[in-house]
Amino acid sequence: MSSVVQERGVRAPKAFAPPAAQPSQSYWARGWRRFRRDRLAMVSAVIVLLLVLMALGADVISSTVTKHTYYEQSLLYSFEPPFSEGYILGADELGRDVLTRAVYGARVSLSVAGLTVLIALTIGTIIGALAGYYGGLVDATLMRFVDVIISLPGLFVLILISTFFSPSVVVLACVIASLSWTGISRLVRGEVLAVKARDYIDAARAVGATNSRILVKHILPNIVNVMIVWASLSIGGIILTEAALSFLSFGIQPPVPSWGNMLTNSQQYIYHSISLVLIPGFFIFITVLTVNLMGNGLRDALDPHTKQ
Amino acid sequence: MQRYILRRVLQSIPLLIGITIVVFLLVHAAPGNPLGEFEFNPNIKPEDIARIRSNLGLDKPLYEQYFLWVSGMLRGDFGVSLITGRPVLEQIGERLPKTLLLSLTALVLAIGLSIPIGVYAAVKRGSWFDQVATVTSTMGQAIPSFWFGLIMILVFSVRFKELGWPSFPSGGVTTPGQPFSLADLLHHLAMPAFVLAFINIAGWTRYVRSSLLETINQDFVRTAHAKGLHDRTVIFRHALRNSLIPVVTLMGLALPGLVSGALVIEVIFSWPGIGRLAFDAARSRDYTTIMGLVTITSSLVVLGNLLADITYGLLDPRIKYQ
Repeated sequence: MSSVVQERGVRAPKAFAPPAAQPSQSYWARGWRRFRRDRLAMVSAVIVLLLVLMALGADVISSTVTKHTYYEQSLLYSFEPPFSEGYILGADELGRDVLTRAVYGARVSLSVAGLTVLIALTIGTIIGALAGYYGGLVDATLMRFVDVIISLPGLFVLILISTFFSPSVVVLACVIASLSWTGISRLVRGEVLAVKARDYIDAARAVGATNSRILVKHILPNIVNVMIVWASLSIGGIILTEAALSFLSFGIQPPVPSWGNMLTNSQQYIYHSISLVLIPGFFIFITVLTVNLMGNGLRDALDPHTKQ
Repeated sequence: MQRYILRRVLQSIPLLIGITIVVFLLVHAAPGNPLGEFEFNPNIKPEDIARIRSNLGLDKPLYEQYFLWVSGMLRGDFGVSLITGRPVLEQIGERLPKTLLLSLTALVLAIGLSIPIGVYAAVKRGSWFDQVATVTSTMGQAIPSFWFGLIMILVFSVRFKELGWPSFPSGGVTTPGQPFSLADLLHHLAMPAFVLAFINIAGWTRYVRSSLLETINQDFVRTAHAKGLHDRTVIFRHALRNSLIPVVTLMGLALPGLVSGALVIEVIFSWPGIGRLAFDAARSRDYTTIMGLVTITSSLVVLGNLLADITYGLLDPRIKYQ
């Protein structure tokens, strides 16, 4: 490990030095400039933003555009096809408006995913930082714990935990986060190991900084980029997990819609209505695709190692 | 090599112990009391409840209960299902071969498709094939597997049948009421196995491609070219072998996903494997069955990772000395 650390320590100043001709820029400004040039990532970011706005404005869309609530049923209109009057994307088996449900589903699916990432980020960063900073027995114990969690077959454990509770958005986020923090904890541990060997950490310790101060003020700011990149790259997988859990009816419970539970009954009615299968899944697909592409762009923009 | 294998085998023992502890504590964290309904029954005296409690070993300290459970499992006793009353191991035993059939077929399919596609995309870098492969795999990683499964059913079972074309069955292992035949089994296996493989094909193709591109630029590959070897020899004998080493690790890491992924696929395609069993057990709160399932599937994952690591050691002799 020490050879890696030294190599980075030597290389880092050179890599960070701005080209002579340009005015000096902060790391984040340079990252933003690189991200802006990545057209695919920018387009994806705009679509993600639109989806978030759609989720935030679900109430407005429901009252002005679709004129339906997500729970209002009418058996007269069940299996109404898309683009029919009053039902822009059609109605489901109970005559509920699909567009309204999809819009509220965005709110549920995106808040579960966002909350899960925040929780997983917190747990993973704390455990990774402790393991990397203190090393020795703390490190060995925590990393074996990570190995154990990684070996658990995710969905089996997730459906087991979900049976304990009646999953709301917050509970579901905690459940999914309990298995998703392992990746970031390994990344943070590696980064902390690398940063901790730098001279300025010794300098901070020499002037009497405590361990917690060093961790929070001197190490954490140097790993924020890793955390952001991990968050943006893992959110897609988390959306897929939430959708799968809700699809299996171990996630968000009807009548509250999530993209996953909108698909639960669609298999049963597959002979009646194709659009009930296609629409919610398409929302999941587009969201995960654009979030992943945005994450790739962020990684390229923020990771100094991939710089040309 | 033997020492390396031995060391890896020994390393997985604490891992298995850790897994059993986590599973045990998880199920103990479940709300509710196994004797709860007796406590509200006026016909059952408190002494009786205490007796049942001690018969079941529930009055013992937690660590003792844990050791009882683990020693039972080591003797092959996983308890009985809370719902059907049948031994858990027997239930898992009759389901496991079907899941293994599905997962291993998917694994073979994923390896067999992703390596050639990845290699061809790397060799013809920038060609239309490469671009199509990149776009397809990016999109493939974003598709929810259950939705992909539903669409496959919609197209190949529902639409094809409506059009009178040869269609695929939408679920099950064999056609009920017909004598077993391999062709019938493969006909049923094709769609679920492909859907399960698809997610990995998408990820692995990109990985094989970038790994091979990295190897192609290394000195020993240039040397091989310089000595005048045929392009194909350089790619397959020199570059590919070395670029597959990290791919093996990746495939080892994909094992938990293959087992977990099988759960959703088994539910959609009514495939009677352990995923379907877990789904049904969770719905009926059959905790003993789930405990057994999680323990056995995670042990399978540990075993799979062990095999991947040993393969890694065989492919790259440098690993052994680290």
